[in-house]
Amino acid sequence: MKERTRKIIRLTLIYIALSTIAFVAIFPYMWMVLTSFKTRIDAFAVPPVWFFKPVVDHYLEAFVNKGFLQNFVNSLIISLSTTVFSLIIGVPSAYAFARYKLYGDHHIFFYILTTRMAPPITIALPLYLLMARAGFLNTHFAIIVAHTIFNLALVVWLMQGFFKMIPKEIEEAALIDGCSTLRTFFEISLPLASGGLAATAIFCIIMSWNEFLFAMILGGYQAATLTVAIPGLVTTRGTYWGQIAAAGTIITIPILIFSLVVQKHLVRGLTFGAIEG
Amino acid sequence: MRRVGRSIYLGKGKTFQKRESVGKLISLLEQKEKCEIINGGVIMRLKMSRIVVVGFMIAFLVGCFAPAEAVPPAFTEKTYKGVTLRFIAEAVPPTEALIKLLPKFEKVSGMKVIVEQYPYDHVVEKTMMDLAGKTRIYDVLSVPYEYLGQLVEMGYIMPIKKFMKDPELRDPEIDVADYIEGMWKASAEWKGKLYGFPSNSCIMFVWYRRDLLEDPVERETFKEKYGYYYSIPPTNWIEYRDVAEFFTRPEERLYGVALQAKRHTALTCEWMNYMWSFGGSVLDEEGNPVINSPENVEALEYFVSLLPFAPPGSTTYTWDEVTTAFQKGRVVMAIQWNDQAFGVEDPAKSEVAGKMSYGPVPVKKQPAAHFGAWSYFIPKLSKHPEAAYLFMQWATSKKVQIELARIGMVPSRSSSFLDPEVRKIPFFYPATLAALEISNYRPRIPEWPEMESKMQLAISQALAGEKTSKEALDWLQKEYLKILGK
Amino acid sequence: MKSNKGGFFIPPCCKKRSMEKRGSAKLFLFHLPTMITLMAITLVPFLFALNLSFRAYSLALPGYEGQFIGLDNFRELLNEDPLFWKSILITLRFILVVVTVELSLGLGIATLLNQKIWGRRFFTSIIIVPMMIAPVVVGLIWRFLLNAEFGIVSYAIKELGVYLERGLLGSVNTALPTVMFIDVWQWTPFMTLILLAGLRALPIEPVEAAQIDGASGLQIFYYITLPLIKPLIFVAILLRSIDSFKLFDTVFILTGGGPAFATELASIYAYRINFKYWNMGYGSAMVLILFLIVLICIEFFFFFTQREKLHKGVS
Repeated sequence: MKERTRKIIRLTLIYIALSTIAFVAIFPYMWMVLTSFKTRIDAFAVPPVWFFKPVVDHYLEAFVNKGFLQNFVNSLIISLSTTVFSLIIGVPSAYAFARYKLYGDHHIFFYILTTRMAPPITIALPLYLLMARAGFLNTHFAIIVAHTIFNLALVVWLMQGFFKMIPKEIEEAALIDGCSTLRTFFEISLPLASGGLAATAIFCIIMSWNEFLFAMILGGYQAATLTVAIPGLVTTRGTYWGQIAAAGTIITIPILIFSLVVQKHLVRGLTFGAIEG
Repeated sequence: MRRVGRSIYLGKGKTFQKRESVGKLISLLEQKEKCEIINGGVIMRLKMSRIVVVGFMIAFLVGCFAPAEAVPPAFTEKTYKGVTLRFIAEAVPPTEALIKLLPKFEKVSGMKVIVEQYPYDHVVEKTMMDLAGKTRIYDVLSVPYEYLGQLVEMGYIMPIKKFMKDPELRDPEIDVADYIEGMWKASAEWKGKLYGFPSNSCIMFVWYRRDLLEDPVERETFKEKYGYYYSIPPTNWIEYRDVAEFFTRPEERLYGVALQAKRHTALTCEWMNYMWSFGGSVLDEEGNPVINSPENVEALEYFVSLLPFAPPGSTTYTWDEVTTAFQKGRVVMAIQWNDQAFGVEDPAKSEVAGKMSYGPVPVKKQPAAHFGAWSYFIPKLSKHPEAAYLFMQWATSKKVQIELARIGMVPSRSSSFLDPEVRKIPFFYPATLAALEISNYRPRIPEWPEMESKMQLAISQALAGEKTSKEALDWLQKEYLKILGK
Repeated sequence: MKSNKGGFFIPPCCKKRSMEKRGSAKLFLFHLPTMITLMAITLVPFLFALNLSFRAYSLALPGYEGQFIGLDNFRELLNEDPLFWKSILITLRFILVVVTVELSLGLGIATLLNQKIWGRRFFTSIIIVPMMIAPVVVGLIWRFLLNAEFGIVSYAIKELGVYLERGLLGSVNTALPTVMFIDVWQWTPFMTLILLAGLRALPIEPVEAAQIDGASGLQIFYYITLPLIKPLIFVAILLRSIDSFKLFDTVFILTGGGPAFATELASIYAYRINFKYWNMGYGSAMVLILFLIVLICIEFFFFFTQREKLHKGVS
């Protein structure tokens, strides 16, 4: 009896804690969604209104008239490409760092981290000139390259940590059984680290989707992402809060979907049982 | 020759003569070969004779519209077909309006115009990167006018005199005198040379709640408390302060003034009105900084003293929040930009639509009106300078300016203010025109962006109480001497 | 870059030689794409910035064409620019508070989400929402929410009886804490997600064994779980600190660095110098110094955690 009550209390406490946290986390976002459907008068009403007549003007204005739809597509192309490139390039490197010691490893490893440390402003002008000379300015490619650079450090360092957490015994068992290093990597290590892979992929996509400085400088007009389009709503004629809310709502949805899908992989790792058995 | 108000200005080329009497006018007419008469955008060519005068009056009364598309000879489809002009501008409604009118231009000239729009900070960034990096992306620019000095001194833009003189390119109706003088000087001229045309502009003046200030009960209560009747709107700073204090009623959620007190460009823009009105300035005639002059210190102290009469959180307000405060009926007066007034006059957005009026900034030593504008410039490395010039010229031509003015862009030509539809816009006439006549403009020297940024910090510190006004401006003066002494 | 003694983790079991000798050629291939990409594209801009920092180069002022002036920029920055040091102090204060809070909260939340309860995927999805919103949008949302007159958060605070004369973002004393709060709000999910992935990937055997042995929940957590996810905690702290150092968009939109100098992070000050004053020579020098400071901090961090490692070891 006591055991059950303790369990119930424990569960209740957990739910209360989680609900509070969830509320704090989601409240600003929910308010933004509500605002995107309010007229300007309602949006600024004090005390705040919870019940109002919804309008879709802001969405129409932002996405149809101002062409945010195109920006949306640009963002999609750029983020997905960046994530794919960053993972393809970075994960093998991370694995090598995690498992093998090469002379001078720390130097390279540290260097990779420093690429992320550099404030983007430093790189802005030189990268701009580089892209201009190479003829890639104002294209998606330029932005993808810039984002990949910054994401690589994230991928390498994060995945390195995840790979390190996999017990060496599993991999050694596979190697003893005759698997090549490559096969071990693809068939054992990668699946075991799939949770980490999922988390890393989420981060890459988020970083790229929400990035602002390089998208603006290198992207110019054709490749303008959604993030770049939004500050354009803060004009000298007034801030179009309704449209900002509408754009903000839409800009977050793909990410939400992506993370929901990817969460399946945040599963419990395999147990030792599978190997020893 | 044109009519503005009750005066008649005779003009040919660049000369003005004001207020000729009708008799003198007729005799002058008899001397001239032909004259051009403007009536709200109509251009009619009439032969010289007394019939001219009658015809003029009839035309004025009837207001007929004869479409005369005057285009320079260079506008043939052949010459510029296939040319693509890249234009970078700030993302403001006037730019959008210009984009709507672009198809007309493209049809007449044969060239294609691609417009890139960005908010203020980014348009400057992208422009500078293009110019400094010599990437030759943009053929024509529309940038804030305070960059004129910098752009010229760094050799980024080219003078346009040669285009203006070129008979192939020059629009016969260019009528340079029609541009409002203050704007022309601020946006186009630098050290005696011409570099561009005024693009958009806006100006600051006083917004006030006419209904509250005119209310007899309020007036009487004010008289009892302060001993005099205030003018509507207040004409000097003492009145302004008293009215602000009188109307500050936090229980009713009403405040006397709204200040743009965030650490932002808006802050310096607003404060400079006070500065000029109090008789101060940033630089003296020789270009030396005098930012800590007694007048300036007084102006800053006054500005800081108004903060208690502004809504809480004013130190996060830029022009946008001030407009919102008016829309919700929270404040009574403010010094604010004219183009923001569309927001308060729109019943769909504003609770005080129709209750607002606009007037000049209070005067202490001289009238003041902070003028903000953008100008069209042509980069030296532009790939199509002549085409760029034609575009600029078209965009600031009389017809186009009137059409833009009708949707609310502040025009750069006096003639645009004659258009009846333009006149219907409540704050355009007379408040905007009167303010434009004053047009104080900020320094356009290359060092100005840095100076302005430091000014924001100084004023912000004074507002926060971290420094007294004198200390803040003394520090600023030291910084200015350092910047300009280099 | 000087050699870092134990620059990263070497769990004792890795000391076995057998794995290291294998396939050194293959692992070189593993590294190649990364190295090429990074070298090609970051080295050049970095050298460019380095070069610029020794010159007087401004996009605004004539006379600053890029002539070589040696260490003048650095001297001026370090000796004659009190604002620079002020901004560094603000930034360091910011990072210290923010990373500590985010780590603690993140760990707590991750543990909660790791429990076998119904609806945990639902909660996870909701809790990680803040970090998915673009920094620009975050800045705008909070500016809206905290607006002293119309913001719902300000309204709630007023209802609770707290009177704020200038609003949370408008007062010198509360501006920085407010900005810190917003950063915590946005980035705690980052920590949570990393740590959650780590917790999920942990093998359950050690935990079960300890439970059989009669260890309490807290003891298990402290002696078993924590050490096992140490690599991740380490990485999380590192990444988060570096990212906070670069934080720009959100704060710029929220406060512009104000009121007065209260929220002028180093990144904002550097932006001002580069893109408002256009003094890129001076600005490059400043950015390089910032970079050095980050480097030094990381060195310290490594040093402290390595010392711990050597003493405690992994049980």
